[in-house]
Amino acid sequence: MTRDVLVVSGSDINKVESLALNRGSPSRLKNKRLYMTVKMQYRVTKAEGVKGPWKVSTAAYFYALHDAEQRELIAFHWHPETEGQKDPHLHFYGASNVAAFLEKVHLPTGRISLEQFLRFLIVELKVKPLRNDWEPVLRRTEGPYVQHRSWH
Amino acid sequence: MNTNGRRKIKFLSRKEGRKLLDKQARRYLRMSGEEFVRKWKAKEFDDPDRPEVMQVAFLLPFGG
Repeated sequence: MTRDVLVVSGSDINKVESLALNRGSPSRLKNKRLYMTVKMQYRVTKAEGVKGPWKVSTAAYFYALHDAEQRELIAFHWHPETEGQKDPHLHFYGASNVAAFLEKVHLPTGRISLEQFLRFLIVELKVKPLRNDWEPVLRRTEGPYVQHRSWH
Repeated sequence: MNTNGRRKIKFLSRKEGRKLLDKQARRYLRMSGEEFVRKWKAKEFDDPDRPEVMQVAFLLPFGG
């Protein structure tokens, strides 16, 4: 859906690092006048057994959908180390024409994987993937996450 | 690498990371990256969950 590159801040052990698509700017989605933001924070830690010797744990996520003018429409957030809402949640923004009372509120969600967000874009919003094998690719990358995640 | 052999993930140097943080802080909040880091650490943002603030806050590790 995009050819933009992921940039990462590093892989220091036990340190919060960051990754961002398109150097932190919204990324244009193929065949749609829409943009997405993908930003995550993660930690590399030592792990035992099948998860080891190293594992990468998500520390926070930010997946957003923007309109053609790059105004935010919806955003899935989880940022437990920031003041305020510590559970995963969803925001609707004014540009989505949502009812005013829903703007700025934190709608509770379960934990959302990047794969779930991408699948939502492809299946529900008909964003065209760049690869025909997108479905097995997402299943393959999501598999270890589903198997080893410590919470939902 | 993707199937075309093009690198899809790039590790940024500390200098590149600070430049990225600065650029996005100016884009979203019209302040320097340095100013953003100072205000964030001092908890001076009234609404840290505001999208513009979150867009930059997620990039703090790039600042070193």
